[in-house]
Parts: sequence; structure tokens; C-alpha cells
Amino acid sequence: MMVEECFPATRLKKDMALLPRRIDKLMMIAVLVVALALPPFLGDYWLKGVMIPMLILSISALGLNIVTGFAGLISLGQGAFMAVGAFTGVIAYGRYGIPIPLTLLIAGAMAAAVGAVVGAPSLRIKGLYLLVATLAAQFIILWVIQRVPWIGAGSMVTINTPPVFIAGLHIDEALEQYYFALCVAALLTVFALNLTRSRVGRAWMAIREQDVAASVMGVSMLRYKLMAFMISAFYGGIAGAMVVFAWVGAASVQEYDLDLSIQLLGMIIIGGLGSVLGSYLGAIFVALFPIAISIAMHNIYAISGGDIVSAATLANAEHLLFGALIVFFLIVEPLGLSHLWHRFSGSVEAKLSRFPTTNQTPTRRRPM
Amino acid sequence: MQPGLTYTGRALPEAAGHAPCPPDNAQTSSLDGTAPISQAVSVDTPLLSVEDICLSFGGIHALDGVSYDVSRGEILSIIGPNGAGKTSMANIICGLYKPTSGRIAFEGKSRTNLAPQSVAGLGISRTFQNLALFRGLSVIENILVGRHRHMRAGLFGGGLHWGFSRQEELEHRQFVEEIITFLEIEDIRSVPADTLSYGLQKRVELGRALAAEPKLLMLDEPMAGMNGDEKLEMVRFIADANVDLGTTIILIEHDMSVVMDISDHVVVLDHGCKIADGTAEEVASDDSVIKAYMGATE
Repeated sequence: MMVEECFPATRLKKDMALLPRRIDKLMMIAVLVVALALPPFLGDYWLKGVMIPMLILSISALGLNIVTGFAGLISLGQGAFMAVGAFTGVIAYGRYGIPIPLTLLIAGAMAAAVGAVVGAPSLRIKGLYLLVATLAAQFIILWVIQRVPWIGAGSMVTINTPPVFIAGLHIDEALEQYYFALCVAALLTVFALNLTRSRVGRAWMAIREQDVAASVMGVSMLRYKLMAFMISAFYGGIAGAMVVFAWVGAASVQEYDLDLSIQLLGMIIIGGLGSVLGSYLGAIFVALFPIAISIAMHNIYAISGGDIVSAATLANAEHLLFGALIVFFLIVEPLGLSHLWHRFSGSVEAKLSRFPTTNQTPTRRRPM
Repeated sequence: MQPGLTYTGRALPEAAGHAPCPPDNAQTSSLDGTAPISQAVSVDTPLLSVEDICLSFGGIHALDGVSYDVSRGEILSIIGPNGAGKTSMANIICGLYKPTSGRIAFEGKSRTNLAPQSVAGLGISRTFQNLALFRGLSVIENILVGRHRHMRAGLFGGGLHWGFSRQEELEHRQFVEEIITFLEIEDIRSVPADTLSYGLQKRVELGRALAAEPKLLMLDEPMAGMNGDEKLEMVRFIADANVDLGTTIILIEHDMSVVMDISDHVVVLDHGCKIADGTAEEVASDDSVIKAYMGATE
């Protein structure tokens, strides 16, 4: 093979591209168009009940995917990081009047600082033991938030945020909140996409795949494991603050319990570990899943002539099926929905281009 | 000695800030006293000096008072039967094991108890006896991890992907492409590492270690489990890395015949003790080697 033709700069740039495949670019444009144009036609129920929580949970799932999917360090504390972000946000904005963009950064930074402490055990332990250590952190963090009087969240008190203004704009309609969440999610997604294909992202994946070999190649475990936990918590913290400012309008401890952490872990397993796209697919799946169950159950009851479906039955069916789905994905498609997309889009791409190039073979885990 | 050199002769660029050993007349290096002049340290200083290393696990002495020197530009082979302590030696040099006693000096400076990533920072790189590639990553990404210590992009550089870090990424990808060309693995450059054959995975691992531009490269049984052709190819790449890139190499091998042709210097271990040290010819005719080593394998 000719040496000169092997690595022209254009090919290297193509290797480095944010979305190297044409089909991913097209899909990204389509998703953006839908995300921008569709919401005005959706009612408040869909915006408040599905779209906004979906976006916010995507941000948090993306963070969790960085530590668990990319760096391979399992964490059950993401819900608690969201709580740290939520209360930091509501105090910074509500009590001290710090502008919202800065407040979001402070909320993320505070969660990252807590994340560094929670992540410290990962230097010595992994797997199941790390899971238990982060589980303990989940409980301790929520306990601290409730017990420190300065925070003002004692005995299940909910702290409301004052009206949300960003650069003079009053964000109180569901549609405005949605676009606000979309902006934040888009910025954080681009940052994560860049990061995961950079030197830092490769160091994380190297730790995930072979930590001994990674350290022999000069990757510092201390630095990159803590960095993964901090970035993960940073995303969680911003997501928590967004719950306050773009969705619920208040911070309350009960929302960030263990259930949320497990749900987030379920999202990235279903969506795809180690995939930015997977974080979104998982969050979308989890947001739409209860609605699909509800519709399906109502239809089944209607056909079988039964009574009206009770809320308890629905909730039980949801939990059962969600658990079953996680097991299903772990066994059948451990790389999640994002891998299904890559297989499907790979075959479409091959059909579209007359000369499929050999360097298009997808890696097992693509960042996007 | 080096069957069919086909390397296209495109020299790898030298990274600024550290001077690799000159691509010298390595085959005739310091053993006979005609060592090439090295730039940073005086001629007499060996690149790596291992002094009286002992390593025990519980009551078992894996290594017992082993000493030897590695000269710049040479290929040193450490051979010995199974359980002789060869891999333990490699793990001590790269910082994965802490020796029970003894001293290791690299470029004249003592560095016995450094962490693995600090050892990597000194310019020591290695491959593993059992494959240790990053399985889910592509060949390019695997080799790019080898560039880790030469890159600077951090959290914000990587996340924002602007100016400096973008340019840096491009330069290092260029370097990786040259490694890929050097090892003749262009056609698998984007393939996930775990889908490759055993022999190719070994070659990619060599590429990852070479990408670090090491001053000292340790290869732990690079030919194990390969067929004859693959062994010949690997020997050629190792010789090329030594001659063309000027890399000092420690070659750990179980199979004595493989290393005799390309080694400048052979150290023989048996039951954790050094039993011979010299040129391949000297070692091959050494009575204790024939007795201990050959006896143990037959």
C-alpha cells in the first residue's frame, strides 16, 4: 500500500469528526428539527409530563454513563448528586440571587466536589464493592441535606424557587422551560461527545477495558477515576438544578431517592453503556415506557371487558416490566438500544453508498 | 539476521522535549566497548541497571538477588524455563510489583518504587504475556492510548475540542498512522481489537507500546502462541524497532531458539536466580545453562 495515501490529513480529520458517518449527521439534523419544531404543538401535559423530564433525565443519565459506561466504574449515587445540585441551585438563586447560568455552574461544581469524595473509594475497590460504597453515599448525602439546618430542608420541607429569570426573560411557561432545558442539554451533549473521543475519553475507556495496561501506558488512575466521578456528578448536579428551574420549581429530598439512581442506571443499561446516544435513548425509553404501558393496559382491559385500570396496577406492571427489560437487555443486547441503531444504520449506510469503505467498520462501543 | 526488511524507511518523527536513543549501530553496541555516544548521559551509564533485586510472595522467592545492566540501543533477552521469574522481573521494572529488596536505576537515577504511570513517564513501555489490549476500542484508539504520555489535552481542551487540543489530536493521529504503516496493519486500522486474530493482537500491542516512543521497551513473550510465519514477522518488527527507531529492548522469551539470532545480550534466569549473563554464544555454551535450562524443558 502506498504510504502517502494512507494518512492524508482529510482522512485523519474524518476519523476525528464528531459524527463520522453521514447517516449520523442526517439523523442528528432530523432530531434537532423535531426537537425545535414539534413542542409548540404539544400541550402542557406532554411538555411537563414527558419532554422536559426526559431532557433533564438525559443530562443526568449522560453523566452516569461517563463514569459507568466509559470509565467502567459503577455508581448508584447519581440521584444524590442531583439532590446536591438541586439544593445548591435553589439556595444560590433563591437566597443569594446569583444569575441562573452561574447558578447552574455552581450547582454542578458543588456536586462535582461531592462526587470527588464519593469516587475516592474507586481507587481501591471496584465492581460490587464500589456499588455498595456509592449506595452508602446516596443515603449519607440525602441524610446530610435533611440534617444540616443551614440548607433548610429539614423534615421533608420543600424549598420553592423564586420566579426564574434568565437575562431578563421570565421562564415560567412549559414551552420556555422546554427550550431552556434543550439548550442546556445540547451544550452538555456536545461537551460530552468531544470529551469522550479525546485523550481523556480514551483514558477512561482504557481504564474500563484493562486498568493494568492503562496504568502502564501512563494513565493515572487517581486522576482519571476521580475526574470521571466529578464529571458524572457535575452533569447530575446540573440536571438536579434543572429539575428546580425548568420543571418542578422546587427542591425536595424525596425526589432524589434510591429509586431515581436505580432508574438512571436502568436507562444507561437499556440505552447503551459507553454511548452518548444511548443515554438519550435510555431516557426517552424510560419516559415513554409508562405511557405505552398505560395505553396497552387500558386496551387489554377494554377488550377483556374488565374494570378501569387502577393506578396501583399500572405502577406494579411498570415496575415488573422495567425490571424484566433490564434483565432482557443485559442478556440479549448488553450494548443497548444504541447498538441496535448502529447495526441498523450501518446496513443502511452500506446500501446507500455504492462503494462501502473498509474503514467504516464500527467499533464495538462508539461514543455516538 | 533480519529477514526481508521491507520497512518503507519513513522515519518516525521525534517528539520534542525528549531525545530518543540515536538509531545507532546497535548490533555492535556497548558489549565490546564501542558504545555509541549518547546525548544526555555519559557513555558508561547503562540505560537500566538492576541491582540485587529480590521478590518474595509469602515464603516463595520469585526473584533472589538478580543484577544486570541494559545498555543503550541493545536487545537484551531474558530467558529461562517456566517459573524462572521472567515476568516478575518485567512487572518490577514497570512498577506493577514492588521488589522486596534491591535497587533499580534508569538513566543513572534510582527509581525503585515508582507507580506504573510514573514509570511510563520516564519512557519505559511494555507488552504483556497475555494479551492486554483495550478490547472494545479500535486499533487506532488502542495505539492512541500509547500516545497518552505525549499528549496534554485535559478536561476542557478535550471537551471543547478547540485550537490547541484539536491540533494536538491531529498530530498524534498522524503519528499513529505511521506506526500502523510501520507494522503493516493498515487494513485493520478501524477494527475493534477483540475481533483480531491472536497474532495481530500481539502486533497491535507492540504498536501501542511503540507509540509511547519508549527509551526502553519490554516485550513479554511476544512470540508465544504464534505459528512460524507470525514468529518471523514479529522478529522482523522487533529488529526494525531496534535498528530503525533506536529503541532499547528487553525481550522476555521462553523459547531460547527465537532470541538467539537477534539478541545482543542474554540473561538467563532459573528459579529466581541469574545463572548466566553474556552474548548469545557465551550463554548457549554455558554449562549451567545447558544443565538447568535445557534440562528443565526436556
